[in-house]
Amino acid sequence: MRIDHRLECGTGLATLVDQVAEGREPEDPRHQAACSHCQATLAQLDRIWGEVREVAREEVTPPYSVVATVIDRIRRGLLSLPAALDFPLEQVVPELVRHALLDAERGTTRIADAVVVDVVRAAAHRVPHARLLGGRDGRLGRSAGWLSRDGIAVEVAHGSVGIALRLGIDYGTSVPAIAAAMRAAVIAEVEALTGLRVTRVDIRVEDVFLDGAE
Amino acid sequence: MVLRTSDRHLIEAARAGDLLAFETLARRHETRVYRVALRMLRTPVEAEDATQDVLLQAWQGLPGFRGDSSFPTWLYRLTTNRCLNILRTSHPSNPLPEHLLGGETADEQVEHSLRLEAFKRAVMGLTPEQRAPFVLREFEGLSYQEIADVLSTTVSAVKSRIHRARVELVSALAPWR
Repeated sequence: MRIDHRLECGTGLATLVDQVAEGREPEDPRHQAACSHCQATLAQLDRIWGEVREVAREEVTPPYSVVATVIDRIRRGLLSLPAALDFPLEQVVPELVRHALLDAERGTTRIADAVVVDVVRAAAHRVPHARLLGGRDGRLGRSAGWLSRDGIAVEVAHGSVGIALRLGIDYGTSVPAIAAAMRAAVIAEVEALTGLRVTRVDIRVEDVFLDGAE
Repeated sequence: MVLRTSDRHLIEAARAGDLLAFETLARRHETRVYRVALRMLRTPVEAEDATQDVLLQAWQGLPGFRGDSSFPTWLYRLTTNRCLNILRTSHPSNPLPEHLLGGETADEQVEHSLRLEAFKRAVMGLTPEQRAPFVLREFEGLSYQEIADVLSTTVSAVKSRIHRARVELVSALAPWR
């Protein structure tokens, strides 16, 4: 149909479209009220504009991860090292839940960062000669994108996760070897169980156990 | 009532490098960006990517944001530019998978939701140049003047593009000829 299409009564379709879309008064109210062509067309247009308004009212919400990823990308550009365990407490925002997002063919899967923490914890417990340092020094709560608890900090993004760990290791064992074993175990477990790509595992060794026990 | 820091204060803080201020600002306005992107592009995933691009661009462009237009207008401009670029560089896809268009229709009458999907497909059938002003006008409720600012064109050009878009849409949806 062309923009200058006219109804059988001679009224321009464009005129009626504008009338309905803009909520204008009819140009020729007497003709319109009596004309069956105009009335039928107006009924169609009213229906279509009902749909316009309905779509306009539809609530669409972007996934939480959208802004989180943006902030993450900005921060990676700003800071050379993720200092996950060093954020000042005033930046901690405990109520926010962040999710990693996996796109599938028919839907999306969201994984809360707390789930990733649990997976990391389970993997870390199986590595000998090392222990996570939680407790009073392991920061709890969230800081600017990171969830930090029990000596584990994770930061989820769209399909990936960054991880930081605070560890104590048994005296007499090799730090590089333990760190490598820990890193490999955490990456394997997280990638296998969640499907997320682990972008990095930063490890900080902050205690040593002299007799292999506390 | 929730106490809100004004956009202006957040913008100033964000310009000075305060990332939390920017995050607040981004969360406040992301839905606007996402909504336009969703109506301009084909899938929610595309809309999410575009929203991220726009917000990153906003962060980078904040120092140059002089406040001549309102912050939402500026964001709308970044968003439509981004979407138009995406549409120009990507190949037109096959008919849109209607279930990907967003919105909850599960509880609605089937016939009604089908009509709504047909309507959304018809919007996607508009040329990008018609779709942008149409979306800003009909879905975002902007005035012709605001749309002209967003699209850097004249009010009369906006009016004529929206008018054509409406007639296109009607002819795609109406069974009469």
